[in-house]
Amino acid sequence: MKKVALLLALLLFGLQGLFAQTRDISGTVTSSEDGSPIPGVSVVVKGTTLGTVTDMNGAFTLRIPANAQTLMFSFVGMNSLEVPIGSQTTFKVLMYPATFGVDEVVVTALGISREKKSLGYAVQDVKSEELIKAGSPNVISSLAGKVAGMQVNQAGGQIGASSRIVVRGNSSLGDNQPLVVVDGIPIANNSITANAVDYGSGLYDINPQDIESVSVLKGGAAAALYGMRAGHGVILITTKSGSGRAKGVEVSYDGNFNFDQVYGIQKYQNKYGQGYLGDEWFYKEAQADGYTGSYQDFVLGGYDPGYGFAYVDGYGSGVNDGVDESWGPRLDIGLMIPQFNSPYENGAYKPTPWVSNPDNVKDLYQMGHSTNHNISLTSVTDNSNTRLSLGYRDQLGVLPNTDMKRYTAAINSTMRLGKLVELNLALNYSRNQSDNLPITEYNASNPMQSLGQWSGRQVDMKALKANWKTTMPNGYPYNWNSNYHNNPYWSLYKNTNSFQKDRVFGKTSLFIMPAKGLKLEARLGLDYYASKNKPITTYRSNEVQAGYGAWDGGWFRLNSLNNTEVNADLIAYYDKTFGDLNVNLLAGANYRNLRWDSQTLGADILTVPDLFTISNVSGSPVTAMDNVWIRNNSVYGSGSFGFRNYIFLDATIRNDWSSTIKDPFFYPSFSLSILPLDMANVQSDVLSFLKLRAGWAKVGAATGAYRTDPYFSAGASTIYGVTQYNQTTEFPPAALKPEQVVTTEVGLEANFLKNRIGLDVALYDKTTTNQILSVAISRATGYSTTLVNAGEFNNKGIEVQLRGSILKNDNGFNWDMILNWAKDQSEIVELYTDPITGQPLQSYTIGNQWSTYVQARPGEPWGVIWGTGMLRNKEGAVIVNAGGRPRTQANMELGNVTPDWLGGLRNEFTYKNWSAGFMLDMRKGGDIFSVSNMFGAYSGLLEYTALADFRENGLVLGKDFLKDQKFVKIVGTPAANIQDSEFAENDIVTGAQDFFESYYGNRELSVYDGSYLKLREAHITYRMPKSLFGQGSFVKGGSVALVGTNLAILWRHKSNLSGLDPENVVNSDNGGVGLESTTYPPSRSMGIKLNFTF
Amino acid sequence: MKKIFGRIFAVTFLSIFLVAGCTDKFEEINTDPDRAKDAPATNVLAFVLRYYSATMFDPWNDMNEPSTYAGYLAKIQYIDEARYTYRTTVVENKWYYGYIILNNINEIKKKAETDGAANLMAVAQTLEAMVYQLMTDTWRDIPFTEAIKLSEGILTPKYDKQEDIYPALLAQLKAAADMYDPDHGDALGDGDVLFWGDVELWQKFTNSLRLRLAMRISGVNNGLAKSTVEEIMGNPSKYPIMESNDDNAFFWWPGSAPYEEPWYADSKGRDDHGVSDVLVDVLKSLNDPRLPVYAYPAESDGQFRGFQIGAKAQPALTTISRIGERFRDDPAGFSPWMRYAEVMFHAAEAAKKGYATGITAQAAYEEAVAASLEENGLGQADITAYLNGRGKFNNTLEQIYLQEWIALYKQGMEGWSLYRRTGIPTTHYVAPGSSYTGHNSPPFRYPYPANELTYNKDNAEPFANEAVDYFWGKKMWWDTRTGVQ
Repeated sequence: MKKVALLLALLLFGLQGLFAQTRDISGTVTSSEDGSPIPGVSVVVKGTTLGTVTDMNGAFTLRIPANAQTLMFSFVGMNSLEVPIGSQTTFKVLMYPATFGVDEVVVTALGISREKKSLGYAVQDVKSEELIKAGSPNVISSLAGKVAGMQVNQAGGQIGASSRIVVRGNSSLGDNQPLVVVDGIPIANNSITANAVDYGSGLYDINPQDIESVSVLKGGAAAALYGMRAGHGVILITTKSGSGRAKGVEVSYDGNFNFDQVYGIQKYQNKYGQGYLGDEWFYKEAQADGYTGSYQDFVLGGYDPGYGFAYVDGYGSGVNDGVDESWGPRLDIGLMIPQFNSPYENGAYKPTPWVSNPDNVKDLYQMGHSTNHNISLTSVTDNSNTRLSLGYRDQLGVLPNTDMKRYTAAINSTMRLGKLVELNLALNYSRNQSDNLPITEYNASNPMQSLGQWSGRQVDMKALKANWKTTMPNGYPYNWNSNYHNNPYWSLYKNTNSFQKDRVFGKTSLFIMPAKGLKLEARLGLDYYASKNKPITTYRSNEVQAGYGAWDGGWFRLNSLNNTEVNADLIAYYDKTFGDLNVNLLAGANYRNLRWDSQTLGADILTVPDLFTISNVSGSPVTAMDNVWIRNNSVYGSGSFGFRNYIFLDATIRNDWSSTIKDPFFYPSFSLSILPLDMANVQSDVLSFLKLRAGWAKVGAATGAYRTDPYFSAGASTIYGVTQYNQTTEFPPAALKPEQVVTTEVGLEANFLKNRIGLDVALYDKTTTNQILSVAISRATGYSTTLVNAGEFNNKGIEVQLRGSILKNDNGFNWDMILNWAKDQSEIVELYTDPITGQPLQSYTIGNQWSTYVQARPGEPWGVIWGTGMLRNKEGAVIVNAGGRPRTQANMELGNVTPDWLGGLRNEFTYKNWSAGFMLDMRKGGDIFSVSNMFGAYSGLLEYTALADFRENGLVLGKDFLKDQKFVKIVGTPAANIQDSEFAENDIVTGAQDFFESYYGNRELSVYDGSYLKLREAHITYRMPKSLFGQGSFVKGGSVALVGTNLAILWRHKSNLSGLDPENVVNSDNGGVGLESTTYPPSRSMGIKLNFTF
Repeated sequence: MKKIFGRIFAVTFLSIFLVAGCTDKFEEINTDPDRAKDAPATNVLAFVLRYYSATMFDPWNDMNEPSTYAGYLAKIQYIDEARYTYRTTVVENKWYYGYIILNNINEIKKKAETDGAANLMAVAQTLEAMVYQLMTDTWRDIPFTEAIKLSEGILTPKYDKQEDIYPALLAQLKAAADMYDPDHGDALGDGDVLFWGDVELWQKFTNSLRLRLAMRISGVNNGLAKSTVEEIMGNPSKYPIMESNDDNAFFWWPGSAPYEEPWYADSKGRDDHGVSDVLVDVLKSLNDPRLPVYAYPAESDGQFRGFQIGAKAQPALTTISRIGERFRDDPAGFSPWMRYAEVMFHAAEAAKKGYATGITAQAAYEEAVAASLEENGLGQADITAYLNGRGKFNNTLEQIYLQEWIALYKQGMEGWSLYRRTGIPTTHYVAPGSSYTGHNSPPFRYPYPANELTYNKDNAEPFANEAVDYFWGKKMWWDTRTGVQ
């Protein structure tokens, strides 16, 4: 009652203030972080509309009523502050970063800023400073590890590679990535891949320097206002504007220069070179067969032309010289062998020393670098604020001849026209372009295929680099092998993949405020991009070989695509306080129209070599066109009710109509937040803040266009002028419903010790039903898949954020730490049951590489790896065959791709003008099937294929290799069921080549635990004091920093024998999770970052 | 005040609700502008003819496995398949391609039924039987009666035994043979890129196929084989069969990208196949004029030298004979579905077995051998010399089988089936590089596809369990060899 009285009194005083006596006060506001002044802080006399903002020097003056009691200071990213006025006339106010605060303001659905304490669901945001501190090239990579429950996976070390974001675990068999909304407008974040080249994620088109904050709406209740698009969470990006800044004009420059360097290359052996059946094991076998020649004679084919290695033409004319494996002769023991880079005299290659080149893969990589320049201008007047920014980024890849340039421009302007009308325009333009991006996946033009998976370990990369433009005596381009591969330099310099993407996205809003508390908004948003890419394969590349020493003229594709999404919204906001009750209402409607089209032109064979134009095609051109049109209409509404600032209740509703699905769908949500301490009016220094929250929501996930009718597809080319039509291979359903996600979450936020320690815990339960499944079925049905609504998946999880100011000393040393930790547990409760036979579907394939599948299976977590593994006896020991190699069993579980937990730990240290920080990112668990391991072992390249004396004396499994597993052999006659046989510990010696070649048939051996601990970011920053520039200097401030991202992999699981980066996966789709193939090693980026404000 | 806001709110909400609920255009929007809801049957036929040739006569489904199991080819690099190390996806794909083709044939049947197009229906029935024959010869027991019935709700089709499939296929082919009306029936359209709309050639193909199926089961159901052969051979005007090489069912490739003959297309990038020592040695022993057509001499010394099938180590590549120009070096080459020579060998075998064929075994044999030589570009002089030389008829089934085996080059599936049925050529052997022990014959069959064991487990598993080491175990129904394992 007391409070109500006070509030009323304040309101009364506020109104009266207009007529009362006034006086002038002034002051400055500085940041507790570095003591620098904060411009743009809002200063308001509590209970009135009187107020101002601080200027560039953090100073303010204000005329206040004589009876004013309290000043309120607020600024985005800082804790709001109330200061009693008393009789003071000058104020020195220190504001603290909001990370540790309770009055933090966060951006919620539809871009509405709310006090975090009023929210009944988990929202976590990342501010501009945290995003750009370490100089990350894009917003996705700068989010890694910073939000509890958000998994960011950055695929591969190559330039421009896309990333995958998943919030609160994988719960769908379709796309699991969240919706991305920039300034209220949804934008596409799909990655563009074509012809095995990854052209990056949509979010890369945003310049990180233009981002004010990123807010992650994790659960259903937070995202429910987005209805059919909210199923996997929402990432809200707010771009920078002039809002909240001081009047006047400010120019700011940011720049950085980074070096990129490869690390974490797989571990290769350096004991044996190219060839086949060439090691001492086989030499001994030959001797047992009566061969009396020396090892030198043996390796040159003296025993049998199928044993050893000797180069003649790299095409099989010599001894195994067409072979691209490293089961050949021993290196570095003085053998003399003709090689591709040996001197060629009188029609033959002279034998030269057979020596190792341990760094040959590393030698391919160069130091990459990137330059970033960004200039922004902010102008604030009484009636407008505008920010304009121009950015340029130029990156040279770690692979030779790869690059990426990005140009960005952004404008965000708000104008107030009279009292009733306000206009906002936020527009972003970007162009990304590249002359060449490297090929990914298993492909002859991927250098990692011919170096990391198939190669001769003796190959000297320097010879390949020096001579790639030349021709060998056999008429082939200079290379170590003319049978299967291109010289990696040839692939990189000649078989290029150029790319260009122009994108415009943004919105205009017209606000009308017809009455107090009521605001109407008409908003039109656009996301448009046009992209084209042109992969080419040149004449005389391996891919276009047309017989021995002959090639087709070349190959190319020209892929163009356009995407236009228009969103129009009409929204009414209403805000009013009735006594103790604060009411916020919102009602809106959305019209969404998405059109997407793509065209492909290409030639499989060119007439005139290396003329990459369509009229030069030999045979029929390859052509394709594809169009997608989707329209959604929606209405939505929400009500937020706050009682006495300690109980908050939210409810939202949305109804969607979509062209892709016949019936309309309704999505409700409720959430509640309670502040018990405020309620009981308890104040404590130990427990300084407590909030309990709970929410429930039903949201959805829609589907793509044209999935409900059967169609015939036309073949890409006619035959004898006749178009070939064939039935689709997916059997369409009669009707489709959107996926439905029901989430319940509860949470607790608590601050201790005067808010120096903060804890935020969320528990959630998410049930996804009506999954839209393209179910793989028996192909004897004539179809490979059928589309159904089915399944029930459950995710349960916990997210913890712990924040602490471990050391706090305003003028001394400060240490802040933030820990994010999350665990998501998924279970496939049910998949699909055939309505006619009642037969349940036993598995659903999410992704696959070389017949090893990542699947959903009832009773199992999302994503179990399934394939051919090792047959075990009842005690779990692997049964070996007579040759001492594991017996195999098809269709068994080989692992689980879902991590046990994810964690991120950030540390920030400040001391006067200095600050430093680092971030660790950790993943525990999550298995990966690696094709690089499979072929790297099969071809004898990897270090573990030549440990100890494997290739001289063979190995015994369980004793010499894979020691942490038990292997047994069968004693006597095998039982009818092999597992019932009698067993003894394995002591059968197997040859190394025989065993490691079995990696192809035994996929279990190439599955490893993808745990890692990474040093994700680090920086040391020096903020230049004003004194440095002298009085009257036009420079107002600046900072210089040493920054680094993706610095090191500090720990990997011991099963990661070859030392792969566990983040390396095939691609950033659902289908790439837990599957690695032919990826590039990671690279670290380090550099210098500058900022000046004028 | 409150009321006013309430009203504004309500009106706004109502009006936008009405606007948003407007879904009139949704059906138009959700119609794919790039695909056809319906397509002419002749265009589906073009797909079926091309796709069958592209998939079943390509390196994966003919050269690597059937042609090495049959004894024709040897892998000289990446010897895996010839050593019976198989890729799961290859096996899965062959199954998949087969049923995709069958599903599209089913679409043709539906359209033919609606249009009352008898010739088209007969063609579709013939193609269907042909594909099922290839499938059952690969896996023995396969989904047949319940296959391609997803629209009837059959997600997990049951398996039928080869014993039941063969008679059903023969009945279906007879029905097709009775359906043709070459003079007055429907036209097949531009999509007939096999026989160019010549219904009589289709008719001959159908009846020739019937002979193939009948003779394949002659050792296990002599009655059905005999009655089928005698019905056809006894009524040539109603049931015409191929009469010369002009009637060969050869799919000719246009020869330009993307439609180049598959063995040629493979040879552009790979050099994994040589001719086998079995084939080269047989041809040498017969002084057979087809040898230089079937194979190139080895680059190193100009000698014809085959390579061991499924060897442990690869050879020095220049010492091995590669596949001859006619079969591998012509982008506009052919995929042989069925040859006139084969038909005559069936007639010879039937006559030898005492069926009433209207032709003697010797005459049929000589016609068959002559057709094979002629097909391979050899002249009358060569033919006469050969038939009077080592190719002279010796009145044994073994000779008929051996010559048929030689003639079926590039028809890996048919050659492999002939070998499995007869054990000819006797010089064929088990791959020395095989990792399986205890077998004295090349594979009896293919492993079942892994995904069939996943998605159709209950039906597939009992049959998969009858296989031993994936490739052996239960023999084909018509495999009458004894003592093989």
